[in-house]
Amino acid sequence: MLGAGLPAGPVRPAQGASIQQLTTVLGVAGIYALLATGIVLVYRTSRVVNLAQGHLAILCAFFVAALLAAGYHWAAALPATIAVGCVLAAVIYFAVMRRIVGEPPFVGLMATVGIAILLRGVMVVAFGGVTITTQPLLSGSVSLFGADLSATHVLVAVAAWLLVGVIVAINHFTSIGLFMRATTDNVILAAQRGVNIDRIVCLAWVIAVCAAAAGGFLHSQRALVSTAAILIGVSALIAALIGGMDSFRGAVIGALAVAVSEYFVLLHFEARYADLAPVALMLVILTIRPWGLFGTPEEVERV
Amino acid sequence: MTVLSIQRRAMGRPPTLHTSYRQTFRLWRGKEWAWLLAGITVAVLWPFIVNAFWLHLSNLALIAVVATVGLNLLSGNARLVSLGQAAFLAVGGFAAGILGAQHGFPFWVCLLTAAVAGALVGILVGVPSLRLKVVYVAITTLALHFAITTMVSIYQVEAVRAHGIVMPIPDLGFVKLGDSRPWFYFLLVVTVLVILAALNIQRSYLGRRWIAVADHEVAARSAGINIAGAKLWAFAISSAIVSLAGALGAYYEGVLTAETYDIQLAIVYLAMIIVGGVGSVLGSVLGAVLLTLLPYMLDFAMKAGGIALSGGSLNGIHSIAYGALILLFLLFEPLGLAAIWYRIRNAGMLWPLKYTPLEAKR
Repeated sequence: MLGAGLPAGPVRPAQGASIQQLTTVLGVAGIYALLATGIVLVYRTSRVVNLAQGHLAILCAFFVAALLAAGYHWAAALPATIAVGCVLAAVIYFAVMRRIVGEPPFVGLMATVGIAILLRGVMVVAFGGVTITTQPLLSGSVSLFGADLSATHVLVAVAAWLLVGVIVAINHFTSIGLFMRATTDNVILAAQRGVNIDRIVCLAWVIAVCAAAAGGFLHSQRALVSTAAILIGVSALIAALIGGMDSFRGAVIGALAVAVSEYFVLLHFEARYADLAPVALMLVILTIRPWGLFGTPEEVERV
Repeated sequence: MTVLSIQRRAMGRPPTLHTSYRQTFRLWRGKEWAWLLAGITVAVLWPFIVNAFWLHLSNLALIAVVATVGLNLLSGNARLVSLGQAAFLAVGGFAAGILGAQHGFPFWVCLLTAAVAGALVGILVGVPSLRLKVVYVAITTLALHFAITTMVSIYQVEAVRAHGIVMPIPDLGFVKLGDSRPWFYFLLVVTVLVILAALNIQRSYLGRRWIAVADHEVAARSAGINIAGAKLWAFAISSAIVSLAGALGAYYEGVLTAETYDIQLAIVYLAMIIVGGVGSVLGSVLGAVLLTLLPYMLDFAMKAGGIALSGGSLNGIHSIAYGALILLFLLFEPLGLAAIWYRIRNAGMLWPLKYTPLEAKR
């Protein structure tokens, strides 16, 4: 949602303003897409809708900021955060998600709600009332198509979309991805053919949390981050739903749609309505196509 | 889900022989006189036993019970998980605020209008949910949450130009609800009425078909149940009750602010039904009372333990407690406190015989 920190106020009508806007929207959409791919990956492997994605993202962003503030170099802080994210994902999977396999979707949903509010509490206690700005990795500006672009914004957009590409590539071209797709298609058959479902779903959680961590960090590169920023998770969820919960392509298109609709309302109407634009878009799309733009119709029946 | 609801219904029923449906469904077995008498005595004496602070907490708990009973009909019985609880509370609160505080309508009119407004909004949200299942309904109601909270905060800024709407003191005609004591009796009566209504709805055709639809939609449809009708009724009744609670809460607090109704509130209410017992009226009561008191207990415990924290951190601690309770109950007692009570009661009723409840293998 607006926690995404689209720059409030009028956009400077400078030269190349449209390219600047494009970079901003692409950056925001990239962060949404990164989070949404994580949601889709977990959904595809375990049919659990992760409502805690935004919380995971912002928790990791805070963690990086804390490490950077403690004087660590970012080359140490980022891997450390990824490691913490992996441990967190494994804990979430083995302590909670593993135990409710086979329960109705209601239970999985409530479990992620529980995790979300737990993480929020941890965040508030550890970093409550803190607004962080991480030191930009890159400073200065980049000239592109005759427009002066902030190097940070370009970095965010490029890195986010690159990581989305990496996750999709893992799913499509590696053997682990093959196992994941097999799990998506039919868990029981996959298990019978020797796919270690436990490991695959755990791995899906790990990738999802790493995606969230990366998204949170990139978000903190381009905007002020406080605990309110957990709402980027809602935007990502809306993106995943618009695209169809089980489709990576859908998550990407959905993220673009969400970011564009937010930005459009921000530019042409008032900032306070920007939160509502993606919500309205989602309601329209779900009314016409309950399974989303690229989803499979049967999925609506499952959850 | 099927297993859970069979288990739930089996546990909720006393381990006695029933020879007719009438016996199974009756609420009053004719043996509860002692309980009733004790309950009435405690209720009448309660405001004189406890101090002002506890009376205030009791009132908050009663309002929470009304709201939770409403939510449990929707999310527990019909299994339409609602993240829009705060929005429905806001609808009720602001309906009462606009009519009662801004236009001076009497208390009763405001309460009724709040309930009707809630029902209408519920139906409105219910319509797109008809084609959707659990997760999508949750997200639709989450969308409702953002829509309603944005609207009420815009209303607050535009129409009131202040930090909140000051509510008038409700006048029942024979007594003014200015003090905690009359409030307690009034809220108690409302709560008991709502609980009786919910119990009755649960055992009527209306409520039983919610359970059927939640258990297996296709089977329910082939048994001749109108699925859309059942879901819309669930939304309408539940949100009417929740909005009523919202209006009561607004009047009781005295000041109505849009910021009260955040997503955290919606999640706390979901925590109440999970901790109390999904789909059980008794569970709603237990969960609402426990989780209303929990933050105060935690603060008290930490003060006693000598841990001084800022208000923000305390809020974080409450969040952690809610989250941990949701997870613990989901994992270890998915039927909530109500199931614990039923187990104790059944064991007590059959003592010294052994009683093995119908436990589903997990």
